[in-house]
Amino acid sequence: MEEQVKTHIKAQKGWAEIPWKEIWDYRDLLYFLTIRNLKAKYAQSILGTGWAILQPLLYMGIFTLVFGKFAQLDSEGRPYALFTLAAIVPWSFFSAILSEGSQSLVQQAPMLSKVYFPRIILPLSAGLAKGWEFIIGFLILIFSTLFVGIFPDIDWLFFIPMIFLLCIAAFGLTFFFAALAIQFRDVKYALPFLIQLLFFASPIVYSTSIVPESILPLYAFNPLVGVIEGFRAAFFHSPVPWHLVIPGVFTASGLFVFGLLYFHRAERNFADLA
Amino acid sequence: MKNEKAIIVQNLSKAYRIGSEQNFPPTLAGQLIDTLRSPLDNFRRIRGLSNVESQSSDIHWALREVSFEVKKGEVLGIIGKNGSGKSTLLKILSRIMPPTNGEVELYGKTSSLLEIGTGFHPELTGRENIYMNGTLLGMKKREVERQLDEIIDFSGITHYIDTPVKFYSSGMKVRLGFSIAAFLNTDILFVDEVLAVGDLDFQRKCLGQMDNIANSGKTILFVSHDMSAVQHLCKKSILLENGRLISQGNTDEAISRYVASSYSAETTLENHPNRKGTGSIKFKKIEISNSNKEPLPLSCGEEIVIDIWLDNPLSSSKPRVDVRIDSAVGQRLIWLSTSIYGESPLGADRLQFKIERNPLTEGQYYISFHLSNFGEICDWIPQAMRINISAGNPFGNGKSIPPDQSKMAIPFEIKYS
Repeated sequence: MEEQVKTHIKAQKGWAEIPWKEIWDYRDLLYFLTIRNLKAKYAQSILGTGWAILQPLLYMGIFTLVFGKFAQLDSEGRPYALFTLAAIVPWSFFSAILSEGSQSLVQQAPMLSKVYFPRIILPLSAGLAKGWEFIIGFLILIFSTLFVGIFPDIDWLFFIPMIFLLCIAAFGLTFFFAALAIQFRDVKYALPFLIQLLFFASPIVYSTSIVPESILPLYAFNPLVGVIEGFRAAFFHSPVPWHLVIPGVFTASGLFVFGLLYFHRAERNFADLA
Repeated sequence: MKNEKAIIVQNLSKAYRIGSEQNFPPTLAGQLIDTLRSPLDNFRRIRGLSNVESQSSDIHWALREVSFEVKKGEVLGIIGKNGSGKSTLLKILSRIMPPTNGEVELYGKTSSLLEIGTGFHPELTGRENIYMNGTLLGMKKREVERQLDEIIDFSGITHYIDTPVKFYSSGMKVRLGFSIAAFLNTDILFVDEVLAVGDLDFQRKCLGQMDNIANSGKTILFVSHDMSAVQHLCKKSILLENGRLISQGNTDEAISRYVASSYSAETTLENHPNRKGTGSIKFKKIEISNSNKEPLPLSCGEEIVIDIWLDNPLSSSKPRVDVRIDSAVGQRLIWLSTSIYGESPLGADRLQFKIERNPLTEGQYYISFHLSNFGEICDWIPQAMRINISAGNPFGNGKSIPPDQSKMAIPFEIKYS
């Protein structure tokens, strides 16, 4: 006899267990939603994927001109353009996951009230669709380092745990804000400020060396500090700045667990609020 | 196992918080304070949307202590007026929203067919949207692949399947949506009002496919306002009224209770929303019946009696009482009036209008009542009641006028030569 699926529905209160199996069962939906987000994004656009190439290069140009040339910010002895590009690529991925993912539920509100599926698929797919731009940005970064004569070795593999750290932090925040945005539309207006704030609180246009020693331990709890410095360490063959990475690991894991639990707790009322 | 249960619903309730009134302070200073304070108020209000614990008056019970069971392979109809809680029930069963109280147990894989084409993306092609929608409804990619050809074939839009959906007509979207849902591989299926779409041909095809699904041993919960579809598909039905389950059993029984409750010949006129007039004399009670003095059925070619009670005798000097019957789209078809016959109704507080041979053909009609004196309106209840006329036997030969041909059946003769 076939395995009998049994579903029990009742009013729930408070925190609840994450239904991992069910989310896994809907993995095909995650795949198609991610593809859909990608296709929809580049439909009726002349440049299409060209934008994904242009964007990091444009940022790199502007930052190099303003912060590298005019402001003469320190770039730890590296070419400023490359120094900032190594930060722009992970930063763009982070902010894209956060801004797209947080709005994903509000944008798909009609779907929430018409069909059941694990809601977490929506912010996940919105964020994963941004992975495409990240891959392109990442390739640009690799070509740029090769261009200035830095060649890959085993150090480069450190970017793998750094991408993982970035995703944990970004999705943790995204789950939280996506769930919050369904109830409070203020999130939509507040989020750009938060992203702007994080931009300046992360070593994207400047080097960590200009951050005062006294606030550095606190500063490092921003997980992006560890991610960006980790990226630079990997590509420029410098030692891994563990004192900047470890605090970020704590923040990122905390954000992820909290975001996931909060999302799941709020999830059941989405259809009532959307 | 034959009598295995597929769905057990116990004491299911759902409460909504309805928006409480906001008062605006009349002074500028008051408004200013209010503006400053509003974030806090908004926060409390939005937080309260999902909190229905307090017993305040702005809580609406969309569903109240509903309990029923469905056996495996059964097709259960859910009927009731708009706002009776049918859709809320389906939404809770399909886990879109949680209940406030009560429990549900579902045995088997479930899927819902609530609104066709949900999640269609205009930029994707029909084929891509089949994958999207299929997985959205809980199918695996390979399950969709296995049935892809059947789905495309059933939709009848094979030619356009690789065209972006934004170029589809609304009819084509609906066809595609139903076709995906019709091939869902689940044990329990929730269906909400989906057959009322597409052209007649496609509707018939959908009904046929629903038949197939029902005969394949799946358990189906079917919500519809189309009584003939419910009658056709479901042996058993439940009837909801104001969130309560008021009847459970044979579909015929449930439907006749539903029809009786919606087209009740004896209406409460007190709270009729469009009632106008000075109110010096008012309609107190109105009853509509057939020749057997029963409210139903009212048939074409049969007698219809309209009894009217007034709260005061018609004491004024030139009273007039009208009964007007309109078609469902508001076209005036019949006008009965005391002004037609010379005799004045002065002094009466009871009137009886009798239509000896009702000319109205099968369908729904609205009756309005009008009471005036010297052209001054005392009481006017537009579209006070809805009546349902059945086909009947107006010509005594078993034939009736098709309602789409005419609203009127009149006796006629044909001479051949």
